[in-house]
Amino acid sequence: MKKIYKYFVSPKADEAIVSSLAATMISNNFELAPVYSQLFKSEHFFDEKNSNVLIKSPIDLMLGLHKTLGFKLDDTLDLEVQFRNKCRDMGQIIFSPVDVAGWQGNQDWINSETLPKRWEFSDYLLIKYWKKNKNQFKKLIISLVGNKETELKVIVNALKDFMFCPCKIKDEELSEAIAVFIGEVPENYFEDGTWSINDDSVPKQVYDLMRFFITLPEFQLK
Amino acid sequence: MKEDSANKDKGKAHDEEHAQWDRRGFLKTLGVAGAGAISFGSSSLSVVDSQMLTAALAEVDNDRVLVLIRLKGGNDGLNTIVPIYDFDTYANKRPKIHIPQNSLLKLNDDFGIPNYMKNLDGLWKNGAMKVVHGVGYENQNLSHFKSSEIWASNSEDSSVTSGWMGRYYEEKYMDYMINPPKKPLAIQIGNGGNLVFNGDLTSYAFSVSSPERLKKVAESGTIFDTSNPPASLHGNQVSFLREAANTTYRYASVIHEAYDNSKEYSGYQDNSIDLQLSLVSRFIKGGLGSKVYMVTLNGFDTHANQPTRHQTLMTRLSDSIKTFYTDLKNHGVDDKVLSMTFSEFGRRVAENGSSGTDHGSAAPIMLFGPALNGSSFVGDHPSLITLDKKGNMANSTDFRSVYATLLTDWLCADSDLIKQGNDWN
Repeated sequence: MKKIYKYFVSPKADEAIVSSLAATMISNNFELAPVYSQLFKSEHFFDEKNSNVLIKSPIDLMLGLHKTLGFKLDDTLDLEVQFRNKCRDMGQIIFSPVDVAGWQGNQDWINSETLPKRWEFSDYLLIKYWKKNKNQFKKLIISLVGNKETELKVIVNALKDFMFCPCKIKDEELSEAIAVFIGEVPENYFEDGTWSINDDSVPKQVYDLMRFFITLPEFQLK
Repeated sequence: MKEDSANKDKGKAHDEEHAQWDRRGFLKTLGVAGAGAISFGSSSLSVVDSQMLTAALAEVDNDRVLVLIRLKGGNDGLNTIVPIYDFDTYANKRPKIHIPQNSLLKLNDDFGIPNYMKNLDGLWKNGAMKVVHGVGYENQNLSHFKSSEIWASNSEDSSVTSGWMGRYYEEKYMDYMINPPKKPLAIQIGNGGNLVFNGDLTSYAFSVSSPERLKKVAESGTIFDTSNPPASLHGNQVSFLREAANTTYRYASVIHEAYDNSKEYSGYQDNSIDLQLSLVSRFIKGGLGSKVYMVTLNGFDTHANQPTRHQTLMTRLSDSIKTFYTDLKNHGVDDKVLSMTFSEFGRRVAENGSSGTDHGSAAPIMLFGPALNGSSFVGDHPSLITLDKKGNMANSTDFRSVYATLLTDWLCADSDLIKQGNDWN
């Protein structure tokens, strides 16, 4: 039961909750469905304390990004093979855990070899979406903030909260994110109202911002 | 590139490597070797720890440095280097925004700079400034984005995503990804996706979007600030990831070392370009060994109220260049550093209705540094009368020839390496 808890909630087990889940399992003839039902409906599960505390597994990282964005990729790209190979390189052979105890998870996923790969492979997906269709980046940001928003902080934060489980990032990193989003657009465009979220520069701005976000530590968490 | 014999052998080895490994092969090898290109800002860094094959290559090079100063937004060349030789045409086309003759500092009988750029006068008189007239390219594209791309990549073809410096580095450091040099080849401040240093595979610059961030890196020797994490499980996890990331980025510590090895010069003012040049100077003085730096001064898109805005910018630029070279001279390294301004385009000859200028074409490039060995003008100033349909001047010098000259004559590179983008003309 602790394993289930650590997998879905937090690496730090709350003994009371774990015991309660164990009791549910026993009283339900060792069926797991009621356990999950109880856990996923609990306030504890949605508690802010328990968000952004799990380090994504490689497949979680790749699939999570892919599903979150919902972007199109080239039809010829064999995503299953790509994911399988890339997860293997990041230390996870899908459907083949290291031993009977399974993957240790959490900080075990991160070392100086796997972390750069996690950046690189997230970036790889973004590059593939970009090559397929640049406009999907613009569509996404408009779907998040509408087609009239001009406040940089609002736009950058909206994308951050969409790509990360909502959490605060450091001020200096937020400033850098804004600088990245401004990109090639002359700064005065934002002051004199020349810039709009419908501009041709926007797909690239969003793309660059995403490529920045995936390098932040918070992107590794869920 | 000047080669000694040992270097030639290395060149051969490089060629063989190149023949064996296509780009896909390169990327594959990355996985095997545990290397990777990571994104920081919107560029990439290599993070591999391995033997420094290319370091030796860098050793045989000279100790020269090139500083690229990007004037972002499209600098108005005519109010930077004022054509006194045709002053009437100049003033008539710009009744509101021309620099009056009594506010000009003459560089020679034909050209002058506005008084507020007076801090460049010393460099000019000491033979440390050159101006290349009418730099641009045929059929100027007037979009900031496209034009920046063309200036950076030397190509009109959108599919070319590598930059002129990046291509040079890609040829020169073929095994960059596997054996990256000890020090960053280039440092770029204020990138926002500029292509100059991008190769096809990776970016060859250590780049940050803001000088403040670079300063933090230089001061702390780490990419991510690990101080004061929030006291929570989330805070712990973020700290853990920050520390893991810090040990992975390879250049933060050498940047920190160079920064620590040098002293702050007190002459700099409190603004972005001064901060950028003061950091560049500290890296140079501290022996970082990076060959190319790029700094950015933003705000040149002067469609409206040009006179005050341009004056502020050009004053800032001139002051900072003077301070930079004074600083370098105090350390006896000023003759090792060549600086060049560039911008995605110049501005239209005639002013617009809001005391500003619209996107134009050719504009002068300014070069600074005692190594220039004599101040002068290079090339011909484009005519202010014979203009294209939009009212823009024709370029008299192709920007690629300026790049090629810098690479061959200053960095002693083989200029063939940057010619790939030339085919479209």
